Amino acid sequence: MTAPARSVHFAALVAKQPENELFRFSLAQALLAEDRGAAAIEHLEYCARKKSDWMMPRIMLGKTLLALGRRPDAKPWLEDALRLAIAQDHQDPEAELRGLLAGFVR
Amino acid sequence: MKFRSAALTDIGKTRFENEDRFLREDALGLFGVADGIGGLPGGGEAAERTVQEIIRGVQQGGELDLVALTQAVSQSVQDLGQAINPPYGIGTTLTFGILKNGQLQLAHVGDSRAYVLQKGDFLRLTEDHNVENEARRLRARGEHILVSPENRNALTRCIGQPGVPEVDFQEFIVTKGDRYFFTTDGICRMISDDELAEILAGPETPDDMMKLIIDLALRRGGHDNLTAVLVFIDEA
Repeated sequence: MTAPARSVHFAALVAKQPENELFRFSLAQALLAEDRGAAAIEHLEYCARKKSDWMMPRIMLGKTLLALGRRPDAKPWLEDALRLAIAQDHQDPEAELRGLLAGFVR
Repeated sequence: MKFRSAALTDIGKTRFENEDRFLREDALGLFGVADGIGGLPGGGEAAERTVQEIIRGVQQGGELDLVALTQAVSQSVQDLGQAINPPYGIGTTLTFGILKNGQLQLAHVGDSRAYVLQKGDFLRLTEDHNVENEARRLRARGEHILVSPENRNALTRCIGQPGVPEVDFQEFIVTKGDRYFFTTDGICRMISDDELAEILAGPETPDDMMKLIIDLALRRGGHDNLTAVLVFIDEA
């Protein structure tokens, strides 16, 4: 017997408490691990909109949108994440985001 | 999952008794804090009974329901309170988590706190159950609520008082590099979230980091008992 997908577990938690951004963040992570980026987007957007200083959902959202070929949608999220990375002095994410955004001007 | 942990408690500079307790059970992946209510006698006993009952409940194994376990522990503390302080009982906060299968389950009652530092983001995982936050929630629903300044930190939920406490439950995926921090209010009233984030992002070991945090809270007055538990996730 195969264990149920982790996303099933977190989807049930989100169904019980849709306003719980931590449940949604975990669901998004689980969906991404299952290569279901399109399904993760709404949950990452919810997290990013709920906490204006939360960098990780913005990075994941930008990268997921890029992977789905939605470059114009990805750019503002990556720019917003870069702004947070600089403001909060997170050097590794800053370097990663600068690299991703550099791809937009080429 | 591989992790390193540290815990520290200090009576502080103004209290005669340390009524805080912590949970640091590496073998069980069990971590947390309990802060006995100082306005009632027996705060230390309440916190002690709470952590011992949580350990016992987790050790029993099986399918763990953290909410049910927390509510059962509250009943046990209530029973103890009837014995040692019949008029008012005893009480404590409780914030604890269990690391298992790459996930953290978290249960929370009161105004102790849990945080995570995750790839630069510093997130508070719990909401204080106090009058101020309850008033904010009611105001958001359109109710007109006034709170006197001296009551704003009063607890609206705790372990050990009559009734079944509502338990906040969280569960989420743990990632390599996460740092989980459980603390009583003696620390987070002395050190801001921004300062905690900066300290927790540092290069120190968990033990050294805990000493830094306790020393800073003491230098700022140490007006309450000070207790915290820190967990570094080295491998998820």
